[in-house]
Amino acid sequence: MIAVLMFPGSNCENETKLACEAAGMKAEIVRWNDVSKLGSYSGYVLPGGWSYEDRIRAGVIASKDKVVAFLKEEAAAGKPILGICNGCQILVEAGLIPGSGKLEMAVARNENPLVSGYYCTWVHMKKTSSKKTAFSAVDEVMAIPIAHGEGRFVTKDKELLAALEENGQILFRYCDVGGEIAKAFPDNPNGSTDAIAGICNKEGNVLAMMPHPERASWMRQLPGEHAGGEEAGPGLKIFESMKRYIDEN
Amino acid sequence: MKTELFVRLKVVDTTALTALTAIQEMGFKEVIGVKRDVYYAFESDSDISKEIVGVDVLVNANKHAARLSSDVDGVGILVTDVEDDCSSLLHTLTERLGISSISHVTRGVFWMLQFKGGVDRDFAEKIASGLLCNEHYQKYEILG
Repeated sequence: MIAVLMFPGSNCENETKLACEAAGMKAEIVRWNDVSKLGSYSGYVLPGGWSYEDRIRAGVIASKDKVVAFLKEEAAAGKPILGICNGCQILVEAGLIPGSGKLEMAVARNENPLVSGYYCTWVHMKKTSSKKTAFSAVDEVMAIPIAHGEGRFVTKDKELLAALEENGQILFRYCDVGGEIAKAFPDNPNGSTDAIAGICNKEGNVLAMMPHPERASWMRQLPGEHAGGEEAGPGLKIFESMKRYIDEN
Repeated sequence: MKTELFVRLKVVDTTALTALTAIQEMGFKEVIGVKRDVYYAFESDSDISKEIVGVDVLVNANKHAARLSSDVDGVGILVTDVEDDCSSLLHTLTERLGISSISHVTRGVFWMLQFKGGVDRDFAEKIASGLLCNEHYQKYEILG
C-alpha cells in the first residue's frame, strides 16, 4: 500500500492516487496529521499543490511537519519516496534531497522570459543517469507537464553539483523533443541549473521532481498530436518503476 | 538618498501567524510574536518619500498600511533574493509612473520577531537560517 501524503493545500492527491493504482499499486490518501498507520506503508508519494499556501516559501512549512521527520526514517529504511512538484519542494527543504539531511539546495523562483511567477506548459525530459533507482525504468524522451512558480533547482555549493553528477543523482533533465539536453528557455522552462528536472538521493529510493508524471499517465492526457486514449502514458513508467522496486525489495 | 518603505497588511497576516507557529514548533518557544512587512528601499537623487507611499503598485490603501521606517519591537530580519535586481519594478516606477529620480530598487520581506524576556539575536540567526531564508538563493540581515 502506498500513502499519498496530503498536506493542507495539496491539490493533486486524487490523480496521484489514480496513477499509483494504474501502475498496479494499492494507494490511499493520508492526511499529514494522521500518523496512526504510518510505518505500515511500502512507499510514499508527496503530491503537488500549495502546501500551507506556499507561506514563507514553497514547501518550507510542510518540511517542518512531524510526518516529514518520520519520512526521513522511512527513507533511511529504504522505502521509496516520490515528491512531485510541491512534494519535490518539501523534500528539498527537508534535506531529504539531495539527502544529507541538511538544506543543500533550493527550488527557487522560475527564471522565465515570458512570465514571472506561475508557469504551466508541456516540456520534455529524459533520464540522464544510469544509476539504478526506484524510479529510473524510463528510457525514452518523455513529454510531461510542469506547473509551478518555484521550480529552479539552485545551490550555492559549487562542489555539490559535481558530486551529484558523479553519484548519478541527477536522474532527470529537461531536454528538447529530440533528446538534446535543454540549453535555455523554452526547453528549460524555469532556468533550472544544468536543466535539472529531478534529483534522487544517493541510495536511489527518494526522488524529487518538478514535472507531473501523474498528469501524463494516460495517453488521453497528452497534448496535440501526441494525444491518445486510455493506454498508458509516459509518466506512468515512474509509478511502474516504483512498484517494481517495492516488489523486488 | 535612500528611502525605505515598509508595507503591511491591515488585516490579520496569516503568513506571519504560520511563521510564528512553525518557529514555536521548531522549539523557539521564547518567540511570542511575528510581524511581516514587504520591504522596499529606493536610491534616488531627490526626496521621493511623499510620492512613493502613494504608488498603488506598491501600496493598496484598501488593504495595506505603509510606513517610511520600521516599527521593529524586537529583532528585525530582512530577507532578500540574491538575484532579484528589481529591474521591472524600477522600469515601472521610472518610465510608467514618472518617478525618474529613482536609480535603484531593493525589495524583500522584513520579519519582526518579538521575544519573551527581551531580544535574542542568536535565536534570530537560527530562525532566519532555519526557516525564513534559504541561503541557496536568498540572504538575510539581522536588524534591531
